[in-house]
Amino acid sequence: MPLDLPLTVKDAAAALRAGSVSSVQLTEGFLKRISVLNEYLGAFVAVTGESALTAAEAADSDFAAGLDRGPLQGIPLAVKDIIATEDAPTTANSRVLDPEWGKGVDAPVVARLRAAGSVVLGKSTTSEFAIGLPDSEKGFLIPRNPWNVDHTPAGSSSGTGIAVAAGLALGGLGTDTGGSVRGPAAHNGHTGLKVTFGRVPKNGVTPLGYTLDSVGPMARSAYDCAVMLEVMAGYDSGDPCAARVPVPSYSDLLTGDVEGLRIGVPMPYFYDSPEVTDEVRTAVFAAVDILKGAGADARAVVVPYAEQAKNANHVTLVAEAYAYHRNNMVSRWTDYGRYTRRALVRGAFLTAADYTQAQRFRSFFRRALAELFTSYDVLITPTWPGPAPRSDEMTPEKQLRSVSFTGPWNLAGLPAAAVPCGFSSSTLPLSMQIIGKPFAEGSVLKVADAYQRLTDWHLKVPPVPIAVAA
Amino acid sequence: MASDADAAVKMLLKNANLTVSDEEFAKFTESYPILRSQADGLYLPHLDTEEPAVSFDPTAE
Repeated sequence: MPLDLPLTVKDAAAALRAGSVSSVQLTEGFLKRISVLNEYLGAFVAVTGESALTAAEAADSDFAAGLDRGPLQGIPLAVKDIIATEDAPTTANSRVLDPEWGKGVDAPVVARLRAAGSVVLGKSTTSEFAIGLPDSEKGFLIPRNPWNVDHTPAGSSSGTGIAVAAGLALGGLGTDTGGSVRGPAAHNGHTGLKVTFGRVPKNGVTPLGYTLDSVGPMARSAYDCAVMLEVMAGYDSGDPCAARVPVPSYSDLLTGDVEGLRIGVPMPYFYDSPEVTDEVRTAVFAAVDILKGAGADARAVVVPYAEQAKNANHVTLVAEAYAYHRNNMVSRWTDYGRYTRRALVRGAFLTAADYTQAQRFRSFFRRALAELFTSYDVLITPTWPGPAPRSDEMTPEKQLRSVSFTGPWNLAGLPAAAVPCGFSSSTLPLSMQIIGKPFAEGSVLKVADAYQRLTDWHLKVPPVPIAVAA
Repeated sequence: MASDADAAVKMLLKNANLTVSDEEFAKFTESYPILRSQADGLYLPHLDTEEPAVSFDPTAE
């Protein structure tokens, strides 16, 4: 395994401009790693080697001609397999999705990445339709956590999470409806950003929860996520939910300065739940202390009705997902994976009033958070209550009973980043979550970047890929 | 209470026109009361004056 490939977009971009590596060499290197490790880790559903190398050649030609499209030029990325790409089918890791869906076209977010010169390596594994758990009977590779393959890489953006952690791509796209960018980022040990609802157009993406879905960057560092988001964000007329909000230069906001930053630490639910392990609590508190040492102020706060917010997000998600899947569930029930069926069916168990009431709660919760954010710049919580659990211990029913520290922010539509902050005694990554005001991705990434300038958790590489390659 | 959940799930599946395995039915009856409790918990008294967070633009093309 060629371990000399760069770890980050930032380093790769510098190497490309210094002429120490070409995009073709980078792309060939990542394709080689994928060929060695993908059967084992299940990161990719489809690898588009030919078109990736064509894009890499174009990037190199542009560099040679003095044309620089920005920090993503020549950078190999992964795209979650619910997002349409012109050079590969979109399966949503499902036998149900119409093979004609999205055929031959790029989703706007993919088109933007390509226009910026990036190289799409292929379609990365997702939980079926971004919900449920892997089902070995449906013919797709089972995604595995590169830190310990018996443990889950989380979902639903499993493949992009694995790819970034295992060095199979420098970054990639995930989607997040209840935690599907942040969970994989947390369990695989890198950075992931759930963006403000409407920040990135989601047309060309199979829906899960229409009013919750977001497309977000996943990469090792906050800086890498920032340069990806600069390209990804912005209005598109094809998405009725896309926001007409100007896109700042996120990377310019990453100054490392957190002097005077006001951090809210919501203790009830997010820290005192019995599911939160001591290791997680200790690691996140230590991360907050590092930020305090850099000049931030942190105070305990209360996020009101956080548990109900998690539940309202779930009610909203399964109701909206059921609307999309209802007809296929009737006619093609067993074509869905068994765990997908057990999650989607919940939409049939709710009433119209339940859905409406969840939206009434949502109004209240959004206003309560807006009030909280008048006194605080960001909130910091654990991303997940513990490290990645064993894959064979996960069920949809257990997920239903569990706390969620990510879902409340989908309900409110807020940006939130998962940032590595340590390891468990079993050598599995731990993660903190930084939540910001609507469209304050820059503030969230600035705090994450400041922390990453003082720590190196996000640069840790799992041993499993190295062992397999050897 | 289990029989209440059985009856409710049976009716809901019938209304949804879904035919499921016995194993699945058992899973659904296990999780249904939890889901129902979570949804019921959203009917908070202080939300009585709250408007739902939905919007509709009649001018959109």
